[in-house]
This record gives sequence, structure tokens and C-alpha cells, in this order.
Amino acid sequence: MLEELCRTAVADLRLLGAAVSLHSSSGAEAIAAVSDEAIRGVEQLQLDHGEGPGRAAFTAGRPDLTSDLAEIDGRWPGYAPAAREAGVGAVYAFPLQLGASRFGVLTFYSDRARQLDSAELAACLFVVDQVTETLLYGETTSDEWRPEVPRSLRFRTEVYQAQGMVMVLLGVSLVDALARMRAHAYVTGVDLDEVALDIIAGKTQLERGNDP
Amino acid sequence: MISSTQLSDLFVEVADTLVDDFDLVLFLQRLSEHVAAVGEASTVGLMLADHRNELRFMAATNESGEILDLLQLQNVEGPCLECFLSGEPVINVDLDGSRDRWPTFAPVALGLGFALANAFPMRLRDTVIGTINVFAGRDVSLRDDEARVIQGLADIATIAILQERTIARAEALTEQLQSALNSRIVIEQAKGALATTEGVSVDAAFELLRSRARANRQRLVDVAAEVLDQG
Repeated sequence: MLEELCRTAVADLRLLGAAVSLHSSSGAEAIAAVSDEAIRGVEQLQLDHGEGPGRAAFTAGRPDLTSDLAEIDGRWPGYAPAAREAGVGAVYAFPLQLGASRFGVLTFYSDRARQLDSAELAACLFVVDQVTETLLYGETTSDEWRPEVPRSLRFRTEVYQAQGMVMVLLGVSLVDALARMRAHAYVTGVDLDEVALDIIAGKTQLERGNDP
Repeated sequence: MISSTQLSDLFVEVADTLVDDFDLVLFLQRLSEHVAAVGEASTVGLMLADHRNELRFMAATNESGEILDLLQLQNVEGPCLECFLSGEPVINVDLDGSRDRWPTFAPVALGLGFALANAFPMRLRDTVIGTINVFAGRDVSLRDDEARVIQGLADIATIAILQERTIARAEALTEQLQSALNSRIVIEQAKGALATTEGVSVDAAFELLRSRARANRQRLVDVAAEVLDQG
């Protein structure tokens, strides 16, 4: 569950809170999960003001990390003072994405200005992977929130190429293309990487079937 | 060896890294080509480390499946991995004599016709953010001055990625690396989609993306995103 992932990250990194918001390309946004109800209001501030690190991260497709909300030189003139008043000192927003498939944003909040070191950032990115995986698959295969646990979302380059091919061949979204490839891998007992290589080589045709 | 014309091209490209719509992936692609020019008749691949310290493909002079395979193989063993872990360059290693050192990697590289392997670190102080791999045929070992130039190009690549001479904060590094890694994924997805739409190989699809980017003066990743939008 997304809430569980948020809560665990907050506890382990000693943060104020975390929130997952989903964004659609048409601009609609909704809060999907929060580490606790108190942080919901803080996350809502971004939606209310129509600006903030989450939107910036989503639009740019790159993390937007502000270690001191007091030192941002006029960025977010509506949102920043409101967030500081709500007790936020630093905000770290990570887009939830897999290439061109963009789902939303995972935002971590600190109650004081704080620079994250590389170990803490790696930990954040691990949670980002887990949340992305949950949104893609409906579950995460990584039970433990520890950076050493491998395997989720570790794709060969060719998996992305095959994903693009299947998207066009079957006329489905990138996300559905990946789901079809995974299903095919599961049913045939073949590694996803191998399925991708076979698709590129033209050795495998995924069938137009009923969508799950 | 790199000619002065190529060098001045390179300087112009490096200056381009300072503008807003700087195309990082294209820059790394062209830098790989410049490195290949130094070594002559070599194949060059550039890998970047992600937050799990896994090396991910970012650019190459040859994007064929075989080369991608050779590059990605090195997450387990190979000159690239040694270089990444040690932070030291690996230079002019004879592949035929390296079957014990790289029992999986060496035969694959030899099978593709390569005789020598090199790997240069992309370093930021104590951190190695990636490596540049140079694979060459028999008579093409790198001279000392060529190796120095290639290391210089690797350092330029690091600067281009980090956009600041010294990154005081790990956060800035994370933003840049995550952006670069995701851009590459968008491009790979678009290669697949375009290959299918146009009925060509993924390599040919990449060239189509490059020419479209050049013609429209767009970044590669933006052209790629448009291709996928229509998909």
C-alpha cells in the first residue's frame, strides 16, 4: 500500500511527512496517499496555489529538491510562504515515471532546512522505485525498504525499446505494453529481458487479446 | 588523433552546454564520437551509474544490439566495471590474454572482432559517476597522449552532466543524473515505437530521431516524447 511506503520512509529518514500525488497530462491532480493526515493539508497547498516543487518535478521529468525553502529567491511566490507557515523547511519532489510514462510525484517534507546526503537520496530513490512499481503493477516486489534489495524496475535498455514497439503494434499505452510483456514472460516462463530481445528480433508476437 | 577542426567543434559543443535547451543525450552521443576519433577505428560506449550503482547505457557510437549487450554485460564483469570500482583508467588490455580476468566478457568482445579494451572513469572528486568504454581492433592501441585526451574528454562529459565545476550538494547531482537517465529511457521507448511505425531497425530509428532533432532544432528527448505522444 502506498500509505505504508510513505510512513516507513518518513520514519526511517526522520522526515515531517511524505505524499503521493497523481497527475494526468491534462493537468488534473489528486492526492493518492499520505504518510499521515496532517501532511495532506501541506500537500494540498501545491494544488491550491497551482505551483510548487511537485508540479515542477512532474513537468520537467526530473527531481526538484529544495533543501531550504527560505532560500529560493522568489520561486513559488504563493506556495513557498504558505508552506513555511505550515511548518515546512525543505521539500524534495521526485517524479514517478518510466521514460515517457509519467504518473505523478512523490514528495518528501522536512520540518527544517536540510541537505540530504547521497545515502539518504539513494534511499529516497528506492522508495520512488517502490511507489512507481506499485502504481505500475498494483504491488511492489520489494518487501524490505533497503537499498541493497535489487530487482524491481531493473530493465535492460532493450525492454524500453520493446515497450515502444508493443505500444505501436497493439495500439495500447506504454504502461499496458509493459503489462502485456510481463504477462507473456510469466505465462511462457521466460525472463522479461529475454521477451524484449525476442520482440526486437521479431521472434515473438504478442497477441491482441482481451485487456485485463 | 583528434584534429584541430574536431577540437574546435568540441569546444563549440561544450559552450552549448551552458544554454537552457542544452541536449545532454545528444552531447554525450557526439562526445562518444569524438572519443572514437581519438582512438581511430574504435567503438565507444558511455555508461552512467544510477542510485543503485548499476551502470546504465547512455550513449554509444554504435547502438547495435551486440554492442548494447557488450556494454550491459559489464555490470557483472569487464573493464568498465573494474574502472568504475577503482576510479582508475583501464588501458590497452589485450582481450585474448584476458580470458581468466573476464571469462564471460572477453569471449563476447573477441567474438565481435575487438582485440583491445579500455575504460576511462568519469570522476567527481571521490565519486565515479560513470565510465567511457573504448573497444578497438588489433593495431589500434592508444598512445599516452591519446589516453590523456580521452580522459580529458571524460572529464568534460562529467562537467557537462553536472553543469557546475564543483557540486557541493548531492541533491544537484541527483537531479541531473535522474534527468539524464530518464531521458535515455524516453529515447529508447521512442526508438522502438518509431522502428515499428517506419518498419526499420532500432538503430535506423535512432538516426531518424537525430535528423528530426537537427532539422527542427529540438532536443533528442523532446523529439522522442513527441513520437510517443502520437503513439
